[in-house]
Amino acid sequence: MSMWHRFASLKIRILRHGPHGDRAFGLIAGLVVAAAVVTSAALVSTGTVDDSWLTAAVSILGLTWLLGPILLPGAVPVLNPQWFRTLPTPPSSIAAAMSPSELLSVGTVVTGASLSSFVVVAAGHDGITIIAAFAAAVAQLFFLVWLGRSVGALVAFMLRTRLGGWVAAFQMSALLAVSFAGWVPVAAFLIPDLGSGRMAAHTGSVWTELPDQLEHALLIAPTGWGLAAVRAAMTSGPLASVLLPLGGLLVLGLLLWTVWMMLTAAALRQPPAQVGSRIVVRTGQARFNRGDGDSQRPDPMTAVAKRELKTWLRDPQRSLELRHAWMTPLLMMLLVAPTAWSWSLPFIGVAAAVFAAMVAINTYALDGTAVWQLLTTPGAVHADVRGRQLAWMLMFGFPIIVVTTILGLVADSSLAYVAMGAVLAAVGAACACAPLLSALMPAIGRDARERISTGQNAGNPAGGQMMSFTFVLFASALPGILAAVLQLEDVWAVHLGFGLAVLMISIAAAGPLTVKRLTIAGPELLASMKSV
Amino acid sequence: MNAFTYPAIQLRGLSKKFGDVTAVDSIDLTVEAGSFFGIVGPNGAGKSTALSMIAGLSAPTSGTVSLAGYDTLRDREQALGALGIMMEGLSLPERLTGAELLEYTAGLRGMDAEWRDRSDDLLTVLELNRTPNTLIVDYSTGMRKKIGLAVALLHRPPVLVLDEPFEAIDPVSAHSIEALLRQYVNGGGTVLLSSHNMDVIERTCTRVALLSRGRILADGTVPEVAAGKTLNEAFVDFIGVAPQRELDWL
Repeated sequence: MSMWHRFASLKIRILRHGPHGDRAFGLIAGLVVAAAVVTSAALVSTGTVDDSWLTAAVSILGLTWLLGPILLPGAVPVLNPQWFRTLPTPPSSIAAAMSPSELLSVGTVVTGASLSSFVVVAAGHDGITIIAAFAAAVAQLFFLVWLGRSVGALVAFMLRTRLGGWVAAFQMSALLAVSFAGWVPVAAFLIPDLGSGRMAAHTGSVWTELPDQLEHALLIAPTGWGLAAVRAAMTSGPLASVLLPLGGLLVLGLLLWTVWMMLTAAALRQPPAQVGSRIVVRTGQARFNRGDGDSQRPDPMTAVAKRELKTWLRDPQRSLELRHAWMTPLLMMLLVAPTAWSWSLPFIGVAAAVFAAMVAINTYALDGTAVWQLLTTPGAVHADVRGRQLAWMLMFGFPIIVVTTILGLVADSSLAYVAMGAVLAAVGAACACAPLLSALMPAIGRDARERISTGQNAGNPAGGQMMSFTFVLFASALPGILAAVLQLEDVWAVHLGFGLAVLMISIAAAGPLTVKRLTIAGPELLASMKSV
Repeated sequence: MNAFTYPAIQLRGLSKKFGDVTAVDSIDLTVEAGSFFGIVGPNGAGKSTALSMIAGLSAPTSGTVSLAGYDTLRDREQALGALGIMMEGLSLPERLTGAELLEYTAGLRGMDAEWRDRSDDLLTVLELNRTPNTLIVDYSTGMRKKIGLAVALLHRPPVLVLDEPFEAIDPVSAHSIEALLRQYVNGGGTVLLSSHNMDVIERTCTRVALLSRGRILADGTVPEVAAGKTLNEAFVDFIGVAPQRELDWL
């Protein structure tokens, strides 16, 4: 049996017998999306909807292959190249043999199903056009798979360096900022006076098709080349207009495949021994951190908070997420500030609280089996929960409140008090749910003592992140809802009062719940983390 | 003081089952205060499982554990207060230096200002003060064992439970740990440790229990269990050796 065949069959066995809850969910959700794309193709072929919408759908699909690896950095591939480092074969040959197995994935199936829309849209034409559509789907799939794989390998490669960590954090933050606030400049253009209470909209007809310029841009990008070839074939354009995009996809795909093989071969050449964390605490800093000269008796909660602050700065995963949590709202501010909606700047505090909650909901799993010390020290679990909350407030909560206040003043926002009430509530909910969800839904990865870079498996807390996202957003809306119910929505003290109340109640209530959870389930959690 | 009027550790009918597998099978064991007690046994004998239950990190299926007279289920806080623990294969707060970890541990236990002198002493005696800027995550195996022992000893508990303290470390580190433990026992402390290293057990422990398949096969002073042989020979006799045959291809 050849090496590539062995890798492929190994991957199939892992896919069949390994944990596949997330994969099954992804497959089902992806096939629903694929069905929608194919349906839109069918509607395009009957002339019910404009074909530019199919262009948009296929372009978004292509974009997910680019953004996925950037938004989920450090995701461990099903076949980890590190496993095969000691095979007596040159790394480049191992990488080449692994290539076919990379095509076996849920993403390939979903994308393949979506790209069958090319054939659907060409179905009413002659046989040559249908063959061209089929070839375009295959070429587009080939390009997209290697786009995703090479970007994933590149992100993993970059995360091994400190500079790369910063670049990756910036990329992720920029993408998230655009995702969450990219609509604001558009909305500010369409309804410029909303901040003054005027709903007068910039007039224009409802889009029944994409603007020509936008559609043209989407077809010029490689994610649209397959569809461009299909359209050329359908309109009996010159042969070159069909062959050029298809050839381009194949050439680009081959280039990206080569990049992936080079990066995988580089990963295979990494030394087998663990390298250090590359963090050296300066002697002066170490002395300062010890608090020499401070004769006060340390209290448990402060001790935990100090440990947390140091860990946030030194743990590779946490420091990446810390940068991410701060960069994203700052970039959102840059997007919003120059627009007519600058009055909405203070509301970015809510988004900041959401991000800060999302990055902090897996700290118990990240600290790993170190939880034994809490379970075997009298009173330590209580101190740990409160200390984590205190550290979160110092790292995120208080700065968010201060920056929101400043933004409210600088932007001279008429809704500053509404934003402040929402931010106070969001901060409270985020501070409460970070340790609580961390204890309730730990996403276990490699143990803390084995984790020295962001390229290693740090668990996938997507479930907890979605829950914290929902919970914090809901909490942020509460002061406004309550003020509206009481018909006191114009009274600033009501918004601030409700915001403060939600903050205090959330934090106070979450503490005992988290302590109880850890006390009851702590030994099980420890056993789970030890067995990974 | 409970530590002087009760055995340091007392196990009564202690069992642990994982599904159909019995890891620890109704163990009765008494470790007197001030003794240096070793548990030896082959891999999978149930040593670490037994120590986990003593340390309160795993609930027994049946039976009781008392530490310095405190039942670990009924009087959990007092029992844990009497205990210092070092378990094999577990993380510590990895992003702290050794000195920071001891400061954190002192804070977590709400210790008085004396922690500072103790911390300096432990770091010096265990030679961890030579790398003040290194994070725990970057420590070698020997350094991890040493800082683990320092964490267990900092509050000077009456009872120490150590899982494989001499596993995979160099002789110099082993010597440092051994010397510190002797000093602790001479000062009235009680040590219960597990080990594969018969030489260390024979050299340091006053009493030893031999565990196999979750049961205690022998328990007594080292000379009693060794019965005129070396402890290693007695161990092999008790456990038995795997069938031996010549492998032609070797």
